[in-house]
Amino acid sequence: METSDCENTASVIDDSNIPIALRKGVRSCTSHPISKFVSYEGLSPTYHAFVSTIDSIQIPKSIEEALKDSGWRKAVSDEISALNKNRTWEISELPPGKKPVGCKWLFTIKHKADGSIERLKACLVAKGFTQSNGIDYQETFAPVAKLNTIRVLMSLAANQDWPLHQLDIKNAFLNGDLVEEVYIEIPPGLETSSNVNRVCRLKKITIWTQTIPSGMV
Amino acid sequence: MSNSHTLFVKTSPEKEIAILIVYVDDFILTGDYEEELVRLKKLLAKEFEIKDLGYLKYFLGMEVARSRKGIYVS
Repeated sequence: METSDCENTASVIDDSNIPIALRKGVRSCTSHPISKFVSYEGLSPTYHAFVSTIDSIQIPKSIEEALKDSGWRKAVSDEISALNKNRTWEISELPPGKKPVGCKWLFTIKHKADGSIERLKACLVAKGFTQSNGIDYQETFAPVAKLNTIRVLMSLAANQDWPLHQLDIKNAFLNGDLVEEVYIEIPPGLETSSNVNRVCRLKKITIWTQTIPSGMV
Repeated sequence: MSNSHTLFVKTSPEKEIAILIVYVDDFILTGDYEEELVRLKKLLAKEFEIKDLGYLKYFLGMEVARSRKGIYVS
């Protein structure tokens, strides 16, 4: 029984050694364009308006694209000034033997509940996958309350007739001081002739893709 | 203030209570120890740049509606 099993598997092409990217087949969707199957026609006028506002602003794919639009340019400069205000980093030389962590821009549109645009948001994130545990960071941690705790609290508040207040912190990650020595590359789009070949040494904990709780972006 | 990373409780000598819940960068404050709640809010505002969202309306994707009969959570 065992031997026949072995023969069977041997006859199947062994693709486990081929890199994942090559194993994936190439799919083409152009013969079935999405416009043939999805349309706005069935929607009520108000819902149609809602859906098209959501889609009305394009999210830039790169920083170059973003800097061409005044709205996104403002979002980028807001993020930069928040980072500067918190003294997140200082520009320095890269000491020999150290590797800088790459970084990239993420762009999102914040919508209000009715679909209208609240604001455009640019977010600088480090490419956390280029970090190694023990070198660039020691531990990851995010204080997250259990949903049950929140439920109990709400029930208590309801029964005792307590007020419930809500606060949120801007740039929550930028408030902790960083112990480890971490360097990141100059954010794309901010390279100038004076900071060529230099890096940013991080002073504050910032948003790492590795520790970012889902739902924060 | 006592234990845990996410739930902080403080009681007054008169057994009034102030409760603070932390969810990453979101806080909920509740309790009947009102002067402590006010003090805590001020303290947090001094330490961090915060946005006071007033009474609880949305939290973690839940919509919270309040009436005299109780709290409705969707």
